[in-house]
Amino acid sequence: MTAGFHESYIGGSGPQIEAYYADVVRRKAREFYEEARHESLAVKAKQSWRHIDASEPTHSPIFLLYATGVRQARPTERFRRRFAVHGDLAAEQCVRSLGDHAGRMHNQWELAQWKYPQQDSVTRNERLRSLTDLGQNWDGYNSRPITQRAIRMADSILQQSSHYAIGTPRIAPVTGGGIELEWTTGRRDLEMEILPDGRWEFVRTHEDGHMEDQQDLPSADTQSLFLWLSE
Amino acid sequence: MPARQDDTSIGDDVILWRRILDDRGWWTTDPDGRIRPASVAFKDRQSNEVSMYIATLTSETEVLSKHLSHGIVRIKAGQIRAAGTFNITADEIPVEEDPAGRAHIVVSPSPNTKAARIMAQCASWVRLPAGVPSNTGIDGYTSTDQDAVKQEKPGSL
Repeated sequence: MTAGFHESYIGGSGPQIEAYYADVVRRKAREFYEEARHESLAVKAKQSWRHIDASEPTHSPIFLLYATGVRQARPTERFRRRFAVHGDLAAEQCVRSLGDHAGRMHNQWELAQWKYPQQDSVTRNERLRSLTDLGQNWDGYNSRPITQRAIRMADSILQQSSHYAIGTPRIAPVTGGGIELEWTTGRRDLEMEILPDGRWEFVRTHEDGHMEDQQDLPSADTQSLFLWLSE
Repeated sequence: MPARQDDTSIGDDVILWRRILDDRGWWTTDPDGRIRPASVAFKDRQSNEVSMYIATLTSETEVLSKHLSHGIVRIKAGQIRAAGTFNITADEIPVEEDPAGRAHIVVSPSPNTKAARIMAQCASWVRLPAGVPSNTGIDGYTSTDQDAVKQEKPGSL
């Protein structure tokens, strides 16, 4: 699976890569679903691959969770009977195999996010463009549209972020005309809010949950924040 | 507009509801797979006040009457006060404008990003927005669901 997965990317254009990537991920998720022969795992996998979005970095942890969850699981009698898995060794191997498969998918996803940033830029630009379409009261809280200053600053920050292996951020419109960006890598998280006047503030969350913002780190700039996130 | 005062008659245990857009940017997935509201859901850079409702004075139907696809999260007044220096003030709105208006309160000032994130992490779903996976599977359990997941026998298929 690995060889074909990577070879197919070589020489492709951005949209081709994105389309192929989406297809591969869906197919592999489907395979996982079919391999996850235990009923509850299969249901979860099925629900998951239906929602898989190749441009959504938060889906990578889904695979990691499958891997972790499955590896920690132990085969019950119901599992053995339902799928005719005979013998402790065979049952444990089956469980391990499912976990390994999910782990491999997680690794593939992380690698692709890092190696093929073209798809990030497509998603990023589309998402930013969609914010310009929001009219008055787009949120039901009577917000004004997103300001051009905020959009220009967000675009600038996103371009800077593309030089770092930190994936695609969640991009959200903020009531009042600003934009919120959030990157998550592993268990580190960086949120930046572009205010309607183009200024920005941030909060970064460490692995242990500790948070720091501009009051704790007054000299922090985008470069230092992205570096921290990519470490 | 006169400065808002913290209304101490709204006790720390009072449950407040906040309406959450179905735009995917308004909810996010934590590294552990939990889907929660994003910080953006607790910010308002225009009025500098965040609208919420006292849960016991309204219903999901009233809060979502004009926004059927939106969701609702709950958070205690005490959790908001613990996130920073905020005033929670009753702010009744005519029901002609907002069917849930009699339950309306505002939190002021609007939280900065750090405080908003703390609130978002404290909040739990009353109703998920349309489009959010509603199952209790790994790809989208809610806070309420999370409790149920913990009760399952660990490590068992």
